[in-house]
Amino acid sequence: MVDMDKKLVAKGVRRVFDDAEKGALLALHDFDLEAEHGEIVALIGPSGCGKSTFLRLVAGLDKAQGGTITYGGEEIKGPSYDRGFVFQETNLYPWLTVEKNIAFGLKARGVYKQQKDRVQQMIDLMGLTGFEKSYPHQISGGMAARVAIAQTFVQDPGIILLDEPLSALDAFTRAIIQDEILKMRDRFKPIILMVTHDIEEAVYMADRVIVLTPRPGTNAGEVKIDMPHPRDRISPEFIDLRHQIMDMLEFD
Amino acid sequence: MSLNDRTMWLCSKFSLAKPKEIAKMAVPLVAMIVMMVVNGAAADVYPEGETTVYYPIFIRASIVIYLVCVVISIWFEYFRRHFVKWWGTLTFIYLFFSIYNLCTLKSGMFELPYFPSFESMLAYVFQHWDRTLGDAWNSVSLYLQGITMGGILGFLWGSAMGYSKHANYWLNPIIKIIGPVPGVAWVTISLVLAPSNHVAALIIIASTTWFPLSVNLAGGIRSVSRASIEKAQTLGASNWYIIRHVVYPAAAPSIFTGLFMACCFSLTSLVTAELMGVKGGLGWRISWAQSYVAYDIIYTIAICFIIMAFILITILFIVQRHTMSWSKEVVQW
Ligand SMILES: Nc1ncnc2c1ncn2[C@@H]1O[C@H](COP(=O)(O)OP(=O)(O)OP(=O)(O)O)[C@@H](O)[C@H]1O
Ligand SMILES: [Mg+2]
Repeated sequence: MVDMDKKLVAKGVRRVFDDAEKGALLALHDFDLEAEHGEIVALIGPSGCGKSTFLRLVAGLDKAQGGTITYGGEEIKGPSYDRGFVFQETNLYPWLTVEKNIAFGLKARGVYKQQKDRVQQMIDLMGLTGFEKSYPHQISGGMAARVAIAQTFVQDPGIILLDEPLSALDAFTRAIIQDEILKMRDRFKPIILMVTHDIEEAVYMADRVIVLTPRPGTNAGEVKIDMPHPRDRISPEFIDLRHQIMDMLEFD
Repeated sequence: MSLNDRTMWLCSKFSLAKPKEIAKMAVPLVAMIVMMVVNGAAADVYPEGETTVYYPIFIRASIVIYLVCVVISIWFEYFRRHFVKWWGTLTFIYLFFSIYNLCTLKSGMFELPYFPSFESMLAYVFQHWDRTLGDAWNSVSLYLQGITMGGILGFLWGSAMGYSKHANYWLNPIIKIIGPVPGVAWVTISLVLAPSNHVAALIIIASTTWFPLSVNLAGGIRSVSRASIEKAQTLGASNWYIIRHVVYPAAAPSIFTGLFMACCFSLTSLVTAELMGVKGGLGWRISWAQSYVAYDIIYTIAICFIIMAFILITILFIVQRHTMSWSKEVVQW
């Protein structure tokens, strides 16, 4: 079980990419973020402002040149199953069945025997029942996204990083999976950081929306969303929040 | 399983052949019967005094074996699926036998010694079956030793090149210079330098296995997507686990392509080595027969060789089909 008091704290994060042709490219600069368990924080900003870069830093897949990122007071040094990442592309392992894809992390960590039931539980929870033995090329894009999400949630990580996992899906499937993610959040209470281009998705799911400036990305503002779930997408309050965020995204 | 499920399952294994399938299976049988009738009706005229002994046995044995397969096929769906599709090939082969028989033994239209009758080839196999089996065994064991050595070397070499930039710096030029040289070119040198002809042959076969396997494997490893490795890292997999459970499975298609090429190239090397110095094996038997102008033996050995190569490659593809059932894009055989 995860420790619910742990906080994710990022302060003054800076990431510069060295490009042989274009020289140094400042992707992210002086970026701050704090998040607690049970919270969904959405990151929104223009393309190329460093959202994915920030998630990679939190995941430990990349190193910042400045600032600190800590989780429960400890600095993040490298990747860990405690910080799950659902990538922009689903990236399932094509040689593994749905079931084995979901069990991948448990097996890799040698805890599969003890936590076997979790896999079936996750399959049922994500509506994948009946497709356990299917291979990734046999399932639809929506299901692939579900498997990718289940792959991470089954490990019960403290932090879950979602990098536009639903952007390739049709609106209908997306709405269903959004609800499924909310259901998972209520059950496991991780810290969820979610990058999205879809303002409606952010307002529908998140507790807070953090808006980033164009590159070099930094905090442009924050919107708190204090609506109870399930949220009504056409209520005046909802639409008002969408406008508020849209206004913040008008840079020039 | 409920009773109903069980019946369903059994029905899926045992189902009666459809009329169309039975018709297909009948065609090769007709070809075999035609073959038997033609052989019985026409007299053996060329060369004078030749009598057929083994050819009729061959036809009858073919018919019996084929009938057994047909009977199995009528009920067993799985066997039938793989059996029926050969109907065209089998018909063609047996018709070819008939025509060839007419052109040689029955008329002398094709002249000796260049076109030995099928009867004389069968006679060689039946009369010298121990020798033929021995030759085949020599070839197969030499070949297996060679590709095992080359396979292990290629696997390590390709892995090193795929994983490490430093290893690649030193290993890549070697493979670029030595790799494309055909096995034939090494024959004389290695026969002179190696302590024995057997070792020389191993070196030649191993080198032609090593090259395609390591090039394909290294390419396969390098093209494993970063994202699938990073995903495994965030799921808590260790580097060693990632190598075994992500990198090699992802590189499997390249590995099989490499193995396929390696098996084909190495067969050439095997024959070359045997033709040029190794004492024993099918290739050696060919050069031995050459000195006696025994074309029937040469043809027989060539056919044995084709059968051997076919079996080897088929085994490889069966293994591939089983390990790569997850993929739609595998090379089909
Ligand atoms: N490995 C890298 N090497 C060089 N530059 C990079 C690298 N990764 C990202 N960048 C650059 O850093 C900037 C931020 O990239 P990032 O992927 O974080 O953007 P993003 O906000 O996720 O954009 P999008 O919304 O389009 O996904 C971009 O300009 C990108 O070109
Ligand atoms: Mg991105």
